[in-house]
Amino acid sequence: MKISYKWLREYVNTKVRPNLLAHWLTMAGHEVSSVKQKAGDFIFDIDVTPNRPDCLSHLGIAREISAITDKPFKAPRKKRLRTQGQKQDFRIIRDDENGCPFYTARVLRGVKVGPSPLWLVRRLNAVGLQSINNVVDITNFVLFETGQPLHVFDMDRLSGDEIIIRPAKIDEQLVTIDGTQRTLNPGVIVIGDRHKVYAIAGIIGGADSAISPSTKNVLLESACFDPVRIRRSSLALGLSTDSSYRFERGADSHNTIYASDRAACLMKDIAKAHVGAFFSSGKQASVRAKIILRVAYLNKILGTAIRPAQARQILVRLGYKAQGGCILEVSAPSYRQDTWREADLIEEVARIYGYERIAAVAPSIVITSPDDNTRDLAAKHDMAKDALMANGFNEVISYSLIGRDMIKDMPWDEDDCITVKNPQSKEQEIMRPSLIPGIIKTAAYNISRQLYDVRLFELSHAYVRAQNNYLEENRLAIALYLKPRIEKKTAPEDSFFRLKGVILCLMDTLGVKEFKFENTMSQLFDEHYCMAAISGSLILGCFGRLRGNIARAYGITGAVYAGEINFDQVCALAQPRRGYKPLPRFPYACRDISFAVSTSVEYQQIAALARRIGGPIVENIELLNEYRGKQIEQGYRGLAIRIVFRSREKTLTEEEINSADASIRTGIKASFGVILR
Amino acid sequence: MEHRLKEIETLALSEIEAAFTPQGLEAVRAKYLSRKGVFAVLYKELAACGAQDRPVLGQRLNGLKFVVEEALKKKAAALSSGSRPACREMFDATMPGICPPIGKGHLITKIIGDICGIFSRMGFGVVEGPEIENEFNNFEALNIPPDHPSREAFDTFYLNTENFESNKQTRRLLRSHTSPMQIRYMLKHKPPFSIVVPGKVFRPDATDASHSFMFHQVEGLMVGDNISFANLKWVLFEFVRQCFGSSAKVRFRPHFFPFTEPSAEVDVSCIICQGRGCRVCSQSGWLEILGSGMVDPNVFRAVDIDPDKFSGLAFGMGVERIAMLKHGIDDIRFFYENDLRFLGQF
Repeated sequence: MKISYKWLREYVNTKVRPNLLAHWLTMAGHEVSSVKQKAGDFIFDIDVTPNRPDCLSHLGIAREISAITDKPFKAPRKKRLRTQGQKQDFRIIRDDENGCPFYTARVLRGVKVGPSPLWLVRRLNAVGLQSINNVVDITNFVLFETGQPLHVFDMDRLSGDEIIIRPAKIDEQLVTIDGTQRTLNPGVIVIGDRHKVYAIAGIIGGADSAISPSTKNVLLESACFDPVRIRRSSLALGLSTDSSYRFERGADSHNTIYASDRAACLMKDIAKAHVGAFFSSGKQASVRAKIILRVAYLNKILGTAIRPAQARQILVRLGYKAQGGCILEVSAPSYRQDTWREADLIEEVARIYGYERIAAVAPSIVITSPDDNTRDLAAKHDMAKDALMANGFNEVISYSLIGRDMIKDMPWDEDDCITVKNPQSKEQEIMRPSLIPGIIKTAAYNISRQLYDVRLFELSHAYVRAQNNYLEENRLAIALYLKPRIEKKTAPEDSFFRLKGVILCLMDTLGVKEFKFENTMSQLFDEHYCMAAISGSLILGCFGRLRGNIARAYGITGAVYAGEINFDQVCALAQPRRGYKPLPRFPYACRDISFAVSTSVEYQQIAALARRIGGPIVENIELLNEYRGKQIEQGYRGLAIRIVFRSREKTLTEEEINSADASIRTGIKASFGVILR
Repeated sequence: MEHRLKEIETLALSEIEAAFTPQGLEAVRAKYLSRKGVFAVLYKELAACGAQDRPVLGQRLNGLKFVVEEALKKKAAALSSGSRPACREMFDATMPGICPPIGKGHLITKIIGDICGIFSRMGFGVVEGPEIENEFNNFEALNIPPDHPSREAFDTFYLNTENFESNKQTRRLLRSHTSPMQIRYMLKHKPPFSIVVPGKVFRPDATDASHSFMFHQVEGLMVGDNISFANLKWVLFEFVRQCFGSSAKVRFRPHFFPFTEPSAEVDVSCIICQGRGCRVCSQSGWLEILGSGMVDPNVFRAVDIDPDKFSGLAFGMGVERIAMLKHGIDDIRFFYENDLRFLGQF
C-alpha cells in the first residue's frame, strides 16, 4: 500500500527523515519495501500484515508513527453536520444480514460534479490514483485517509426509495463501472432493489448508477461487509479493488460513520452539496470487555524489564485506553480487531518498545533427546544412505505427488492410490504409491542429458492405501544405468549383479540376516531379470531390469535396472550388532573348480551343495567367472568357482584340503552332472 | 656465433635429459664430443676466427663444453644408479588419477542435516511427523480459524480419503507447513522440551523458478516454565551465527503469524552483497530467512498446556530458501530435477 510522507504529516508531527521513518515502521511490523521520491514528496510502499486492516490508511499509519516516535496524533476533527432539506422516506433493507452487518447511507443533494481542487488531485496522485471528478475523488481520498471504503450512487438512477442488500440471484448480470459485463452468483452480496443490481457490495459499483457530469443527487454509502464473503466474491470475479482489499481484511463498523461524515463535509465544501438525511441499518460492533495486562507476565514472556508506565504510554499512543500500574486494565479501540487478549497486548508493547532493544539471553537448558525408536530409525536412515553413497549412488528427491500417466503399465492401480482433491496440474494428481516412477523419471532425465553413469537412490515416503486406512511408508528405491562406455569389458548383465550386490551390502550394513533372494515375476521387470528379497513370508522388495515398454514410455532406450525395498520392514528385521567375530588365527587355502553345467542348474544350488559337502572348513565360495559360447556344448555354460578353506582350530593339512576338494567335485558331478574341466 | 652457442647449449642439455638408456646417452656424447662431433667443428671454426674475438669466444666455448661434459657425467651416474629412471621411460605419472565413483547426498538433505545439527548441539531433539495431516493439527490447533485465507483449497492440497477410510469425519490434507508436528508433539509430551522437525510440506503453487508445490521446512519448538522472547533471540542468533557465519547480522522484525504472539520475522544481512543492497535482497540489504515467535496461548490451550505455567518459543524456516541463498541457486526446480551434474557439485 502506498503512503505519502507529506500526507502523513497532517496527522502526526514528525520531523524524522523519510528513510529513517521507513526503517522504524519496518521495525514496528509494517515492512516498508521501498521509499520513492515523487513530486517533492516521499512515497512509502508498505506491506501491511493481514491482521492490521486499520493500517491500510494514512490515519492508521500516522497512529503507529505517533506511538513509535511518542508524538501526539491528531485526526481531522468530526464536524457537526446539519441536515438540510426535508425528511425523506428512504429505506435500507438488509436481506443479507450476515453479509452486511452494518449499512449507512447519506443523501447529498444539489451536488456540482466537476474537477477536484489541486490539493486533492495531488493527494490522490501521490498514492497512485487518477483524479476522476470531485465526488469520486472525495470517496477515494477518504478511503486512503480513514481506510473505510465508500461508494457513491447517482440517486436519480436508483429506481425507488429503497436499497436492498441481498445475495445476488443466480446468473444475475451487472455492467460494472469498468465497463465489464459480470455474471454474479448467490455468494456475492449486492446492493440493489428487488429487480436490479446497482453495485457489487464492497468490490465495485455498477456503470448505470455511477456519478456522471450530470449527476445532481448522490447517495453516499459507508458500510461493513463480511470479510470472508468479500474475499470469496473477489476471487470468484477475479477482481480485487482498493475497496475489496480492505473489506476482506475487515472494516471497523465504528469507522463507517466517521468516514461518512468526513466525506459529507468535503462534499459540502468542495462539491457544494446540501447534506441531507442519514440512514443506517444494523448494529455496530459492541464495546469490548477490558483486557487485563499483567506487566510482570509481559516481562516474563519478553525477558525484559519494561516499566508499567512505559507499557501504558505505548498503548495509549496506539489508541488504547489503559489504567492502572502493574496490572493494567486496557480497552482496545474498535479499529483493532486483532487485539483481544493479553498476549496481543504484549506484542503491541514489544513491537513499539522495539524487538531490537530486547537482549538475547540463553535459555535455561531444555534438553530433549529423542526416544530410542526415533534415534534408531534415524541412525538406520543414515547407515543406509552412507552405504549407498559409498557404492557411488546419488541421493535424489522427487515429488511425492505424481501424474496418473507415470504409473501406466506399472503394478499400481490408480484406484488404489490416494488422490488429490485439488491438483493444480496433471502432474500432481496422485500420492505416489511407490518411489519407482519418480526414480525412473529422474534416471530418464539424466540419461537424456548424455550422462553415462547414472546411479540413483531415494529414501522417502510412499503413500499406501490399506484396508480402511492409509500408511506413509519409508521406501528405498535405487536405479542404475551404465552405458557400455564404462562397462566395456563386462557383460551388460553386470548391472543386474551390481544392483544385487548393493542390496546385499545394504542389508549387511543394516544387520539384516534373515532374508534371501528369490526369482520372481513383476510387471516392472523383465522375466528372469527380476528378483525379490524375501524374509519368511514377507517380500521386502523387488529389483530387476526395467521392462522395455516402461522404459520407452519414460523415453529411455538403454537398459535401466531398478528396485525398491520397504525400508520400514527391513529396519524391523535389522539386528543391532553386538560383540564381534574373533579374527581367524590360521591361514586359508583355495581350490578352484572349473566345470561345464547345464544352463538349467542355478549357481546358488551348486554353491549350497559345495558348502554342505565341504562342511565347516569351507569359509567362502566365490564365483570366478561364467562362460557361455562356442567352446561349450549347447545348453551348457562354463563356471569357475573358488573354494576358500579355513579352520578355526588349526592349520589345515594338504590332505584335508584335497580330500574336501575331491568330495565337492564328486558331489557336484553326481548331483548336477557337471563336466569337470 | 654467440647466438648459435646458446642454441647448441639448449639442444645438447635437452638431448642429455631425454636419454633414458646408457646407449642413448652414448649416442648423445658421440654427437657432441667425438672427434667429428659438434665441438670439434666449433673449435675448427674458432681457429679460423679473427684474433680479436678469439680469446672471448674461446673462453665461452670451453665453458660450454664443460657444462655439456658435466651434464653427461651426471646423467650417466643417474642411469647406472638403479632401475627407477629406466622405468620412467614406461611410466607416465601425468596420466589422470582414477576417481572412484562417489555418491552424494542431496543438497536439501545436507542442509537439513546442517540445520538440525546446529539445533541438536543446543539440546533440541530431532523428530519427524506425517505428511498427511488433518485440519485440526494443520490449522485449528494452530489458531488458524476456519475462515482464514490459507485454509482455502488454493493454499492446501486436500486428499480423497473418505471413499476408503473408516474415519469419515476428518478431512485429510497434505500439511502446508511443519507446524502441525508442534501439536502432535505437545499432545503426547509434557514440557519442558525442545524439538526440531524437518520435513516435506506441500502448497498448490504453480511451479516456477521460485515456487514449488513441494518443499522442505524445519520447525522448532521449545517449551518450558520460563521461556522468553529474549531466549528466542538467543537461540536464533546462535543458529544464524553457525549457519551463515559470525559476520552475518541478524534483525528481528515484528510480523504476523496466527500461531505465535508476539511474532517476529528474522532477517539476515544479505550474504550476496553484505548488506549493501543488491537484486537478491531487493536493495534492502536484508534477507528474510525464518518466521518465529512466542507460542500463542490459544495453541497451548488446544493441546491442554496451561499458558500461565508454561511459555514457549517456535520458529520455522524454508530449507530450499536457505540452500538457494547459501549457494546462489536461482531456480528452485534444480532441487527436484535431480540432474547429477547439479547434485554432484555439493
